[in-house]
Amino acid sequence: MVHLKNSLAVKLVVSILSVSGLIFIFIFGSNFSRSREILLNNAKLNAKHLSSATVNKIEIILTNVEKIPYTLAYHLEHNSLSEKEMLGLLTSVTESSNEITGVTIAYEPGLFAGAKGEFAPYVYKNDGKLKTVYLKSPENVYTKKDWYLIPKELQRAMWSEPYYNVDDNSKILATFSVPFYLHQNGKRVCAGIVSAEIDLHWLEQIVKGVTLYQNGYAFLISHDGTFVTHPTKDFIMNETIFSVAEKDNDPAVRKYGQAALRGKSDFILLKQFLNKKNIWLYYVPLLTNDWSLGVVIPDDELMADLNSLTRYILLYNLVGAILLIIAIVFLANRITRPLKKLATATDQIAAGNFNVAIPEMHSKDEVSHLAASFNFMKISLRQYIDNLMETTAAKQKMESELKIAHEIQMGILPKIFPPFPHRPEFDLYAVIEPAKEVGGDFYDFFLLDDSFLYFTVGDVSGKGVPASLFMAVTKTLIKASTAIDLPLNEIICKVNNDLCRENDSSMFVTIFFGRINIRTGEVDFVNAGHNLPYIISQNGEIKKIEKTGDIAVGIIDNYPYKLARITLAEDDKIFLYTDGITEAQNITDELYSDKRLEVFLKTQQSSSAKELVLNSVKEVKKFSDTAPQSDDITSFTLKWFKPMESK
Amino acid sequence: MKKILIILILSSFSLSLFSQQKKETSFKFLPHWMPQAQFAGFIMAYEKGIYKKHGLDIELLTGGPNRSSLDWLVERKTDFCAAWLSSALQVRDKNVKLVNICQLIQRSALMLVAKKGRGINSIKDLNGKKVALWQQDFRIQAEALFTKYNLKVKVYPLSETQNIFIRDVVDVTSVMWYNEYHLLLNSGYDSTDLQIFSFSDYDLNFPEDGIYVLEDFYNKNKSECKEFSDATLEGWDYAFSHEEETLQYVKKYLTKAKYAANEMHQRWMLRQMKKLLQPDAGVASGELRARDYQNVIKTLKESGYINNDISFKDFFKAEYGTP
Repeated sequence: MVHLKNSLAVKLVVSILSVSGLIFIFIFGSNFSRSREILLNNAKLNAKHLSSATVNKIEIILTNVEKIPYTLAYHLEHNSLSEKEMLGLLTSVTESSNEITGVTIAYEPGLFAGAKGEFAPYVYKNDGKLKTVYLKSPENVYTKKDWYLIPKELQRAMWSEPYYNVDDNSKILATFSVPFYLHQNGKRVCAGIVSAEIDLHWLEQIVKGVTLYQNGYAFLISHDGTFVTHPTKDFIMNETIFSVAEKDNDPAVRKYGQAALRGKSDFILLKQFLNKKNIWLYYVPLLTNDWSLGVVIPDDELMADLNSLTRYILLYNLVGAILLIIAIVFLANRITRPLKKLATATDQIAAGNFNVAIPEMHSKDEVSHLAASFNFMKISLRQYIDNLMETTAAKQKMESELKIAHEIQMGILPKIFPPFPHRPEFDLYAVIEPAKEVGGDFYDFFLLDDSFLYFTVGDVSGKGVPASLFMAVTKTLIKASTAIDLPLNEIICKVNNDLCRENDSSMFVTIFFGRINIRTGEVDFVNAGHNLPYIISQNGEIKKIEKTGDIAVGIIDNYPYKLARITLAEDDKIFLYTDGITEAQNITDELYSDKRLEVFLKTQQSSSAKELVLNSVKEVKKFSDTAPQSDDITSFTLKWFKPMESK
Repeated sequence: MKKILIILILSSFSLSLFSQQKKETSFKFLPHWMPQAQFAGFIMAYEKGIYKKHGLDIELLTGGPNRSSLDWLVERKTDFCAAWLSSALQVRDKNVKLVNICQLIQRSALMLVAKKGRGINSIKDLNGKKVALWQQDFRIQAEALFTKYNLKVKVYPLSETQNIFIRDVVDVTSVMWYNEYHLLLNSGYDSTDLQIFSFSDYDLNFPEDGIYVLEDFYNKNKSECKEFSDATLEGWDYAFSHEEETLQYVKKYLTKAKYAANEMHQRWMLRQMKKLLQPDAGVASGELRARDYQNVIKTLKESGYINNDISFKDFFKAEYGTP
């Protein structure tokens, strides 16, 4: 089972969605910021138009008011007016203007010809009636008032900061003051101030009229930052833009206030303005009196359409992403379903089930090619396995037959020891340790009468079934040809001739054939090219039985084999063997060799025949260690004890 | 008849005894300015029943620019009043016997403020500059300072607004640290734009707000005077440790007196008052330090505001410092 994390569908979904997600974010982000920019620009334009219209409205009124003190100041500078004329003028201008609540002509003390010291007639409206008072110390030291002192010192006309009406706390007033001048001793000196006072109630109406979006509003701050109008009544004349900033601990608002008071104009974002929403603020100065108008647009209202559009786009994209996932999963399944089936089929083939059907693909894509290749592979594999099975069966059959042959071969060798338990004159033991394949070694012994024991060890050239057959034939021939009165060399000659005659395969066999006179210890023997046996005496001497110079049997027809004779001493052992012993190899390809054999045999003086045979095989195997045994190992020992009667 | 007479005498005696016991000592207090956080200690002592606790029935009169508290005291329209030390000394100099029973502000809050932008960074830079000063007692220290440092300045009258400074008629103005200085900050000036000259830094420390009574009143009501100043100091401690509650009451008083009550401004004022009342020890002691007193006397005499030496012992009647 494929882990979900590794499944093709999941990988496709993750990679396609992340790439398309990135593309979406980029497009969406740039679209969003561009739209926002457009909206902001529109809002800014809107606010700009609205605020300039508002500022215009205010400034028209203020400018109209300004005309009156200007005109009066002009009159005062150019005409010498009597007190009566002055009062007449003051009365008529105060009456003529809707906005103006009072007008003053305030002279520098001593500069009005008709009065000794202070002279400042003030005409004002009170309950619709005009009243006249003279401003005077100590109740009203007008020369120290802002409206008088500041324009006089700055030598320019100016609007005062807004202030509360002394008699009526609900009325906010402002004064426009114009200095006028006289020539005294050739010097131009400030003769006083003409000022007009207005009630600012109409300001609130005008500013209140500014509405933008749902909750947008406008406010006015004076030259020192004091709120002159604001929807929050408590702010008016009580808070400044800076005290609000201090209260909210909002340095951005303070910064805005400072810029506004410097006569700057800008469109800015203020976060959590007045501890509430984020707002956009357009501010613009009133050039007439250095105040500043602010137009507030709540950010969420400005962005409401964009935010709603954004929500829709996000929703559509979510739906799109879901559809995309479905499509990818569908497509991935179309690819992986046949692959999964193929994988299941392959698992079955791997388990040896070649009958499984490879799923058929109707598409013409790569997967169907893969399936076709799989099918071809399956058929080829099946044929191959069938062939292999046949071959293996044949080989197994052959091996089992060879095993039987080997068993038969070994079966013809005498294997019961001691073979002649009733004969104490000699002790005899032999063993063949066969190599893996069927080999051609053999041994044999038999008594033809009470005196003579015939014994033989042979080694057929080559290996395998032919060698074993040849060995069986040779052994049988030797036994069959042996007769008491026949010398051993003649027996071998006869065997040689018989073997040569039918030896088409040019096989041969080395043979040591001996006959011991049990009474005397005399041993007649023929050595047809066989390894030279050893005589091991009781005293530990070993002696090689000399070469006779005869060749192996089965090579040359009518070859004259010689008979030789040795005599064993009491308790001598005669040790016969095949080249399986001397030519045994160890892992470094060293041969066991005659030399090692002789060293070994010297240690075996007191061994019985059986001990010597078994020890020799053990010794060779020890030498070979893990190296494979390449040839049959044959070990044969005959120990002769002198019979009692001959002693 | 005799019996009746005795009964009558006895009963009237007991009646008068009874009424004397019952009678709460009722006094009036007038601050020398509008009821702002500058007088929070008085307001809280009244509102939290601290005066009552001290056995005093106090009526808080509403002060303001048009009510000179010392005039009212002299005219016996109030029993207790708050006033500046320098103002009170001038009245005393004219042989009006008034005494200080509690000195509240220890460090002068009056200061000169200059625009750094006009190149004023040290006291010497004031030379030749236009300076706005209030009238009378508010200009004593400034004039002494100008004399001390031999500064020639052009003095302008400062009205109740700082517009003359804001509109750039003058480069230097006078402010109370707890009041107009904050108003300047809230007119858009940054503290880094302003150079402060605090009179206490120029050996012209005039302890300001203190509590005054007439000497004969003091002699008759010594324990009440002690209770009043103790209760007022307790009121101040309460005000400093209950800022929000105090600001609520201050707002109530200001609104009642038809003044604008700017919360941040009153908060600033209350916090600065704490530093002015408790400059060193962290507690309002009510003590008038002899050194400060002599310094004020010396300056007033030198500037011709007073002519006579006024004995510290005669003038300051509080017995503080005794455990």
